[in-house]
Amino acid sequence: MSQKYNPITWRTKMKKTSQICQSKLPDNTALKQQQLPAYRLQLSATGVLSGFFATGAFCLGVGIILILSAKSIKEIEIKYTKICANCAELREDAINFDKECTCSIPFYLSETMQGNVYLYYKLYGFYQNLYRYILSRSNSQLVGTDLKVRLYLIWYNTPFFKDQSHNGTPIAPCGAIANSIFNDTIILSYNLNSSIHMEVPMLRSGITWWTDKYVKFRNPSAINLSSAFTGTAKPPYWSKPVYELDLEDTENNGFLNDDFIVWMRTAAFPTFKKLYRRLNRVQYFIEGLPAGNYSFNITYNFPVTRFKGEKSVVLSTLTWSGGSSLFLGLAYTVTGSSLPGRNYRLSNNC
Amino acid sequence: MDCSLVRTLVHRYCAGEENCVDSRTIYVGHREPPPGAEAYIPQRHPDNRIVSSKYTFWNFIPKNLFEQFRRIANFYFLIIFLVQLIIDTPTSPVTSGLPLFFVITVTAIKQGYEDWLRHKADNAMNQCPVHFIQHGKLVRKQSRKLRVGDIVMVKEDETFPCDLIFLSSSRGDGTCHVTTASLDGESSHKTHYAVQDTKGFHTEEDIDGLHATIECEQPQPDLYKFVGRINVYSDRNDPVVRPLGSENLLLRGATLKNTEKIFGVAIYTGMETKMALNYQSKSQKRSAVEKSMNVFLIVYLCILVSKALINTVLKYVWQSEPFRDEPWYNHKTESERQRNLFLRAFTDFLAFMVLFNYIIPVSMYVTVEMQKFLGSYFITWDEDMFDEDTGEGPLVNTSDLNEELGQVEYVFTDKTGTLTENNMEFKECCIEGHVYVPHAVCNGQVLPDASGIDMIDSSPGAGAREREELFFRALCLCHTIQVKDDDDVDGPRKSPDSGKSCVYISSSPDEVALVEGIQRLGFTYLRLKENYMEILNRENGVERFELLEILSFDSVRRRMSVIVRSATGEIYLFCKGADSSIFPRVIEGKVDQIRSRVERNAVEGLRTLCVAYKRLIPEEYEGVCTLLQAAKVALQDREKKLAEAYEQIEKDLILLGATAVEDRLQEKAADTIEALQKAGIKVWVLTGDKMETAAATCYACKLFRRNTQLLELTTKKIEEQSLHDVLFELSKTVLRHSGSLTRDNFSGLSADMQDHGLIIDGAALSLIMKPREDGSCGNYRELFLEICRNCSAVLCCRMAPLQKAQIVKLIKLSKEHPITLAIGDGANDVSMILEAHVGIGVIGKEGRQAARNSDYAIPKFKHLKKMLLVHGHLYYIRISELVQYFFYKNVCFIFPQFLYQFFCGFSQQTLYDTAYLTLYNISFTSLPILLYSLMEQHVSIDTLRRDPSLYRDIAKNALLRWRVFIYWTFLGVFDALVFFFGAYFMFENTTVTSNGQIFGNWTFGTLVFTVMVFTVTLKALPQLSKDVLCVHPDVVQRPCLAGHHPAHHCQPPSRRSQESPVQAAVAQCHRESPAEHETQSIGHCRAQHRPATSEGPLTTAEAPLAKDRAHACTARAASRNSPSWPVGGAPAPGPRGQAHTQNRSHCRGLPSPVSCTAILSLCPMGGPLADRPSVQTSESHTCEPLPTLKEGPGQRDLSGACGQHVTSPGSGGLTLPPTGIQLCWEEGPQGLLCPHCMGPPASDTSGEGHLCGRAPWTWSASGHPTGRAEHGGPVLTMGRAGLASVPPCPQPSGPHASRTGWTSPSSHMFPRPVSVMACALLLSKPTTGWGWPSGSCLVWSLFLRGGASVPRVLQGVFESFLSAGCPMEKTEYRV
Repeated sequence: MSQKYNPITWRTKMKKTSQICQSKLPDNTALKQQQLPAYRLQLSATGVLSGFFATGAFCLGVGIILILSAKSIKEIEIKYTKICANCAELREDAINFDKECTCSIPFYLSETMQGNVYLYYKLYGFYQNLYRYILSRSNSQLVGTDLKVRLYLIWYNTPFFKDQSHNGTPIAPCGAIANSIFNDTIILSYNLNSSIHMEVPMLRSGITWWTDKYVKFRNPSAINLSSAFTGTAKPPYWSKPVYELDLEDTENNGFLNDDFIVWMRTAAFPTFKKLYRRLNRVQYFIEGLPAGNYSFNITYNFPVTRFKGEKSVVLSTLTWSGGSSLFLGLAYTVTGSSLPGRNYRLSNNC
Repeated sequence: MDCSLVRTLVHRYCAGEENCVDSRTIYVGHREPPPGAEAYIPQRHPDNRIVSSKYTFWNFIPKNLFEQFRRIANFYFLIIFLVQLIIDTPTSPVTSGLPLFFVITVTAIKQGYEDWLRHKADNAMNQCPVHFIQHGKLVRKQSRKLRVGDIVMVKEDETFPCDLIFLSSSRGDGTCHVTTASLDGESSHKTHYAVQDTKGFHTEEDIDGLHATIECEQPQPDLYKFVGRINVYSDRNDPVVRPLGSENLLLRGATLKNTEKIFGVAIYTGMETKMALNYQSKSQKRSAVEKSMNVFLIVYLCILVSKALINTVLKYVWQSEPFRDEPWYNHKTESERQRNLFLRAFTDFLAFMVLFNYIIPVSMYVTVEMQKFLGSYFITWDEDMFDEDTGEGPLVNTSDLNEELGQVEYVFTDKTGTLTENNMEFKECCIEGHVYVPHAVCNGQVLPDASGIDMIDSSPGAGAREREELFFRALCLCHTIQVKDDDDVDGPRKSPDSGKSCVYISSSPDEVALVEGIQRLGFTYLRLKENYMEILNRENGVERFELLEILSFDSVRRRMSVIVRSATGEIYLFCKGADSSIFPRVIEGKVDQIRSRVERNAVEGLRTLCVAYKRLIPEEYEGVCTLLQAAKVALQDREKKLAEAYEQIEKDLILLGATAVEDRLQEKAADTIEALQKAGIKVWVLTGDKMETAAATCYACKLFRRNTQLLELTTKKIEEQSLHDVLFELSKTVLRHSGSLTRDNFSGLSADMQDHGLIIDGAALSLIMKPREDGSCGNYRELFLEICRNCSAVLCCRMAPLQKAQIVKLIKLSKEHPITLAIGDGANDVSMILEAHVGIGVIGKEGRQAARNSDYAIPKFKHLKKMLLVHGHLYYIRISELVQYFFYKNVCFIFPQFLYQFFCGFSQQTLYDTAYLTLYNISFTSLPILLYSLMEQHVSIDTLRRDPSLYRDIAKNALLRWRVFIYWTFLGVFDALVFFFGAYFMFENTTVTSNGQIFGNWTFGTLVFTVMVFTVTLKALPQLSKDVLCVHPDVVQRPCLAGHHPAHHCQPPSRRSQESPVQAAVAQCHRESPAEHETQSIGHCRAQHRPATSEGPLTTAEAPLAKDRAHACTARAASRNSPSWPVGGAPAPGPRGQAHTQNRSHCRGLPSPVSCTAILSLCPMGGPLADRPSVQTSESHTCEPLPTLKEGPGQRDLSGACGQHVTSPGSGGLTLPPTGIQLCWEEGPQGLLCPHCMGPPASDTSGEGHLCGRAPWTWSASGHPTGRAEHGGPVLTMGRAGLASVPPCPQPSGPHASRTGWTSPSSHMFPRPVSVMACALLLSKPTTGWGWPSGSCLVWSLFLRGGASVPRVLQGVFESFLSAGCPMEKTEYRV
């Protein structure tokens, strides 16, 4: 019988115990005897104090930097539901769905918006996070594998999965999310002077997450898109089929349409903004948006007054830390400045 | 025939109801009685099958499932699972179904396996072969086929298969010997008697011809009670009727000894046997933690329901506006629109329930089970609890109760075999004041060259020698031992003297021990042959005594006598009995010496017996004979008449001497009990043994102390008064002291405090337990409980197994609902082991029944200490942290989900992805805490073991109180708010990336989740840091000065330890010439190591030392192998004690008093006295007993006994309470000097305090006018009054006292000025806040840690603190 552990050997030699006894004798290992080496912090007053102060200083620093960078952001938001009240009224009734309504919103940019400028649309009171709404999509359809939505059972009967008017043709893209896609067109034009109105060049690429564009959304494979989508119907509220979403760019059609992808990423809260375009920094706009007169030309399609919501357009610059929220910076600052106080309390407690 | 049958039936079932209910008729051998007698009615009785298993093969699944779903959590998850299956819910049924299935399956497998083991054990029992008599032949059958009425033959060393009426035995006199070790724990042999009329039936054929019926009561659990009668039909005669009593009944489980074979008829079989009735079905035990867990679960269930309710209501409020109910982008289907509103609402409610169901921690049960299961391995692995002698380690049968070990408030322990080793040993005898110790038992081992006796005292004269031999003869003759001449019988009774292989058998193990002891002293009892007792004397000559009468032992008289006639024709009466029953009847003899000896032995826990004799002249003997004869033949009141006769005979005795027998305590039993008591646990001893023995053991294991006032509630007392009176009297006695006692009765250690010990016996108990008929005065239970509560120790003797369980139950169900633990080793303890919250079996010599039925089994009683104090403590901490943490993390988890509903229109949208929902509980958060709950040691194991009072910190479920629970819950809510709204504000209307892309709802959930997982996982760190910051890692910062008695460092030397340094020192002193002693005793031998003489005058300095006191002191100090006293069991032996000590290495009982000063300075304190020359010369130190110095573990001896005799008036004294150090003051020309700064005392007497220099250690308790104390001289403010107000050993008052109270690591953090400030603060407010105890300690340690230097005078004191385990390091102070 090999005896690995010294203490056991010693013990058994000490006591002339039987073989049975040896086997029953518990191993004298650190684990089994609960003697595992443990490191207990021996905190000294100086160590603890300096640690706390260092952390506090760090937080304070980060907080201040964050606040400063957030302050440097320029942002313009224009709510246009009321401005375009006539259009909004028109969209109140679904019967007028095919009547076009445009609306121009002039505004003045007093300062140049330096760097990359992003154009967002923002919805108020639109619940993209309703349980049934979020569920109302077919991920397998969106990656092109199950175009006819055969696997989706629970929502099979809903209006957004099978086209009721065409004896149940499957809808592509199916579900309430796709059906309610934001379909306003927003065009920003720069009024250099009273006569020259030039459209600000905007990019529609790069507004989606990489994973969305390249993993979660795939078009069904076929020679061309329209043939790929044969046998499916367009969503009931859509005016054109999914493969004709962007007539200018053929790559931007089908499920891979950027606006579509952005919309399909449901927002967490009823007030949300979504990236619409970003500034193409050419010509006048190499530095960003120069100060001056601008106007938004909006084709007003998306009804919001029906659910007492609002729409707005947002122009914003960004920094390394994102948008213009002061919250994070403030949080850091407050934490940082309260740490020494906490530290003081702690030392009193013990 | 028919008629009679019908009549009998009618008689049985209609008219004679009592007949049917109260008794049964058994036809021996199933033989019909001869015609004319009552008709033969076959009766139905259960067969002899023992069933302890719970399930059968068929009912396992339904029954087990039912059992499991009775668990609230399991049932809950089942409901959730079903809801998920039925309605459309936001989460998949798998998320709750899978864990549930897992838990149920694992538990079912475990329980099934356990039941299978039980089946196996039952089968083994039921199938063991039994010898039947059938048609005059011996047949072997399986035990389970035994039926009532069968005649059974049992051979020697076999166990009776059922309850039998003893018909006949192979012994001529119709007796047999039985040991009931596995029933009531008594291993002694008991004699049972066959029925008079059947004892002649010796062979199978004979017995087959027996015609008899037995009528007896229906089975009852009482082991000692049996009533019945037997009708024996001989040919054509009327039946002979004989009464049957318990002496005719052989119980199942008992073993036949020393008898070749017996015949008996089965009367109770199977589950009706008394043994089976004494067992209780094993019910599933739940720990207190689990109970509070269940309560918390219910709270959470309420929270859950209210959450769901709130959300449902809000949902419909919110949806009341149509544009929200069904916006254009989220149409409903047609069927949904048409659904009933209430149905929809209910479905929504259920869906919310499902959504929030994770607030009930799904995996908590799994994790807790795993923690318990894996954690129990640490117990089995524990090396310290491994017994090398038996090769047994601890066993864990139920891992469910690990944490319950940390909550025990009452320990019920068996005596025989648990506290004691169940092994009697003759220790000494005292003949006329001279002590004799047999050589042979030195150290419990037989010395090879043992011969004769060792006389400790001076050799007696010639006359004494005669007495001596008479004494030995008396012991050899005065007993009821039977001798078995058998070489190959094993057993403990085997005489150690080789050559003579006679085995003594007796119903009293004491007698055996005595006779064996005397054998070693030269006289051997050989046998009883033809009424002549033969003994072998020292000269190897055989002496024969004719045995004339035996006045047998009874527990009322507490003595027995024999009358013998010697070869020379002289008639002697030898009487042996308890001292209390012998001394009043003695007219001659050295009563005083013997009495003192007996008392001392009794104090040491030895079982003492006194021996007396009387010489009878023939005429007297004639008188005795007639007296006895008259009593014996009396038909009525025979017992009483016999007792009167005995009373008359046993008087005018001449005292010979006394004996002492020891049932050795188990190793460290006393230490363990003391530790348990310090831990705030009440220890009760429940034993089947008789009162005197049990009481002696209780003294020995320090359950009772010298100053314990014993209250008796025994049958004897109840016979004198009514139960009512006795109880009220007792309660009065107890309550008189309770005012002062209530605070300290837990410790049971107070010295001056009169603490009470209650002794109650089984009969008295059953009277108390009997519900009162009138009901007006209530029952006595409450009163009894009240008495018990005020007693520091309770001893229950003569307990039947079920009564033990009753006691446990009584306490268990009393209004405080304390947690009980029962520990025992025999089958008689099983019912109490099963009844108590925690049952512990000692893996004993007498079978493993207890170990098998227990929750934990340990090899020795001493292991209980580590089991409770270390494992129990740790597991309690671990599991309570685990439970609280689980609730915390699930609140954290689900509260954001709840909040999210407010932002998603109450649409039951989940915040987290399904994967997160499933994995959060299963892996993300439960594995780290599992590891934590397996490994956590908030205090090191050593500390826990050293300081039992730490156990009180967690008493009464301290860590799972509502406050803690609510704290954790609100912490969870707070954290959840931070997670959710932190993320919300960060998200609101902004991007967090630099490329402008926007997050969706799942990203938001993931963000919250990630933050949460990190925070929750790191939550263990604050736990940790709390410990680290507030409690010093290695030494728990108890108020060190007071709390840490030196015991830690001076583990009491084991009883067999070698000569301790102390002894060596004494020996050294002893070698000095006596003259030097007399004169320079104090100076030279450092005033201490002076061996005192036993009877001579004491040395000068200690002249006033009363002999008695010294004796008492010595005895006390010596008799304790005490953990509280560093000298352990080895104080200095006296001059004549040298030999003595050699023989009895554990040094109980010194024949001579040793000065208490000696003991004082023998503690490892170095002794400040010795360092100071002035003291030695002037001898003006005073160490008066301080009136308030009384509590404090380890402190009692000093304050009580030792303080007193070192007194000399005229100087101030200072006793540091906890360690008993005598720190004496200088007496300078101006009077007393401050021992600290050596400066003059403060001139002001306003009580402001004498602040000497830098030492912040002057205190003056307000309310103690100092000024001039009784000494006359000006007294420093640090006077006795001030000090006396320092209670010596403060116990932590709150549950967290040791963790969060003042602790000195803070002084790590405090720079020196702070500590000085703290001291000043403390000193200025002595009576408020922390009060003195902690204050004084704080001062000490802060003072040192602050870097103050230590005055030289106090150096010794500090030294002693260091050795006492104070949290100071040697380097930390400068002198």
